[in-house]
Amino acid sequence: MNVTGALGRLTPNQLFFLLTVGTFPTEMLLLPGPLIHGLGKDALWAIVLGGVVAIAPLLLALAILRSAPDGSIIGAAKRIGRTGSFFLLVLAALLFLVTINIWASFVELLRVDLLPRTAPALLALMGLALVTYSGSGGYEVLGRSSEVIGFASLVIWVILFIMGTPFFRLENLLPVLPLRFPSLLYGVYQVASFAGEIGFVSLLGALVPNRESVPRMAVAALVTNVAILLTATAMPLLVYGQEHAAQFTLPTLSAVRSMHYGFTIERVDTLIVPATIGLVALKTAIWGLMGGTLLEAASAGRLPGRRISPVILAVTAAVSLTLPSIPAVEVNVREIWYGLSAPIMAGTFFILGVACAGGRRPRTYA
Amino acid sequence: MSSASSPVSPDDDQQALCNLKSALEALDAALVSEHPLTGHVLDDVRLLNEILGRSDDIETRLFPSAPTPSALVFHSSLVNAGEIAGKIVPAIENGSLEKVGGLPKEATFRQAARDILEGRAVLLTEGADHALSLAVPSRSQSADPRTERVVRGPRAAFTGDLAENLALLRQAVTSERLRVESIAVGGVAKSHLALVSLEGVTSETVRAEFLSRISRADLPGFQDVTQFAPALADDPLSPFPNVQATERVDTAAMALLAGRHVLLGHGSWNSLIFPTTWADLMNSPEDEYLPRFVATFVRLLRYIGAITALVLEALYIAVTSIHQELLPTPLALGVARSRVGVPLPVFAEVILLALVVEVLREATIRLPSVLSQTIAIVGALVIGNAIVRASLISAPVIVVVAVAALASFMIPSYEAAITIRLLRYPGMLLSGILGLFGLSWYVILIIIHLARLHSFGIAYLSPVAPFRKSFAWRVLRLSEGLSKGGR
Repeated sequence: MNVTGALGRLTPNQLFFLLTVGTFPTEMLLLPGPLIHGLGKDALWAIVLGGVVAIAPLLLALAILRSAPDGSIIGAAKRIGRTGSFFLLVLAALLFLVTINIWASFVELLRVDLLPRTAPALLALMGLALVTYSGSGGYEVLGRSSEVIGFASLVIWVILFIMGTPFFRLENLLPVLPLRFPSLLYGVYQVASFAGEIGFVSLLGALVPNRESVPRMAVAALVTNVAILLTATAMPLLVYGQEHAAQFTLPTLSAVRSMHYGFTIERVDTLIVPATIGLVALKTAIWGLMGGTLLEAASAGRLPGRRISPVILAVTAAVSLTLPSIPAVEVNVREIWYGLSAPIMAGTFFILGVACAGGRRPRTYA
Repeated sequence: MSSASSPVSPDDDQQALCNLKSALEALDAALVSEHPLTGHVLDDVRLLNEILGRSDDIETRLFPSAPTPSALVFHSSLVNAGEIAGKIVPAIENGSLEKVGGLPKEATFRQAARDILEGRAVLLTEGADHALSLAVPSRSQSADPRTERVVRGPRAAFTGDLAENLALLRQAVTSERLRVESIAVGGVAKSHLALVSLEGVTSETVRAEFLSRISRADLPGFQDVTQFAPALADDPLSPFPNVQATERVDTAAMALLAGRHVLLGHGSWNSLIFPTTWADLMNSPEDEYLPRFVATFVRLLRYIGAITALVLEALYIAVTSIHQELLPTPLALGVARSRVGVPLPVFAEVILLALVVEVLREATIRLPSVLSQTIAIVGALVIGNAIVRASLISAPVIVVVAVAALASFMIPSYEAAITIRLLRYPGMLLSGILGLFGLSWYVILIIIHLARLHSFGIAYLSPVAPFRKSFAWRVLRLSEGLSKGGR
């Protein structure tokens, strides 16, 4: 994934925010719902344990990065031959698919929960304009945008949490024990699978000239993400208690929405709107660009570019055409797409790992 | 971004090589500078010029036919040329230097160079182991700053004379590393620009890129250096200023010390400073003369002011016309009461009043200065009062628009303030149509746009993004920036 020559460099700070912004909206809004629904207040333990388990994919990604020849995943991909390249191509197509679906989910979230009076098609188009504008500048622009928007979103989240403290009831978290183990493990799996995203994005560490800082930043990002998810899950539990909180699809948003202040501003939930728009746009752009980089890697692995482009264009166009209908699909069906991210990560790690370990040398590669 | 305006790729190795070269040259010059004069005029002139560097405003006049062969070295921008030609040159040629008066003897190159930099002319004589330092009246006459006033700090501003402006800058930055490069421009009316840089501090890459861009500037002639701003911009279509214009000598001097180049022009009352980031545009020279924490507080206020100027009106439109549920009931009722009888929607109210403020602002600029303040106050009071009485606009809108207008004046850079004023209108439009979603989308678009911008290869959002330690003195003022090497 050595695209530094074409797309610029990242600072360690930018890598940290690129690793954080991608998962922030999921942690803030989407993940606390199923966790609380399945585990109640045990979700907090699951998050901590999931964070520990998530270190594994992170270490794997860092190892791939370290062992890549010349720090270049694309260089490594040249070794994997036609079959490996084909699978990398499929993964890239899937990544585009998931990326588009992330956007569709976001549009749905805005339409249903935050901006019910705004036309979803307009939300989608304006959002995609943001994605295109930020993504077309390459990783360097995404890094700088993430630094500003990611930092601002973290500040917004801290403000929301602090403003929520008058509404918290600590007794809602008691008793802390005993834990329900089978469901706890299911929660750990959910948390660890989303944290795999951090491992995937940490492959962008190839763009950081100071490689020694990459593991430090990756671990810092993981800790930050776990902290965000922990607070986002704790907030509805503290406000409502586990039985009541489990009734909401988006418990964090409901908790924030229920906090009425009554001085200069009545409700603070609209602060989530700018944070979500910025974060999801960046996440989509990051994944879109990384899909493009996978394509480049697949191309380097003996699949000629002229054959790849039509395939990818056809797949992307087909999915894009169905985009307007996706928000109308039931929420639980759409969640399948989130599940897709885990096998994509695993498959990518496998292929890139094989590539970095030597792979099968293509016959005609000089 | 067109190829013509592509950013300079900041190549660390190349920069390191340049720095090393500059350091070696500086070391050479330092070694020579401690030497006593040799007594051979031509050798002494050559060595003195080496110490002073390649600068187009250093003048050397040789007098081989004088009673004793001599050479006069001086900064043409610092001394009065008439005084040199009328008094000193005849005195040298006649061998009657005692008429000039005040002749301290300087024995080393360093002392001679220092005298030249301080605006004296140095006379080197064949066979003499010392130089004569001649006092020459200064040519610099600064003006008072008109648009960049400060309470504390120097009052010097550039004038319309290029040589005087160079003299002012040389007086503010007394260094043998200051370089002046003269550039002839103008397709029809040729005129001169002076690129001022500080060797070893300013970037050679930026200088080369500047020369490349200025050579492509297609102007028949110029009246002010600010006309070159679009030609020097990395992205000419961006509304954000890519170079900083200033009339203040201390701003230009501090920019030089911080590693930025300064462009002066014949007949121009302004200078252009580059590379320029958003943080540079938000800093006032006064910050350097205030206590550290006071300056930090003022700078933070300025950022809040800029954000307020950009979004306050749009936010008011969004919360009063689309997201009324965000307002506490008493406030919502108060706003509703104030709008009784107002026929226009909030969006139209705000746009209308904002345009009235723009009209007033533009009118007061054109009026004679003695009248402008009175007209501004009378206009604001009379029109404001009448407009509320006529139920055209509600009172809260007047408060909101007035606060936003005042906040825009907190931005020190005139160009940056205009940009913010301009960018308010799309924000208002999007808020009126899409509420907070529109406003949020717009603000994020601006952030992404800023993240894409460069000025001569430097990220426009630097030192915020990419985050640099210089954030502590370039955005805040929690440490002494210049002593830490500027940028």
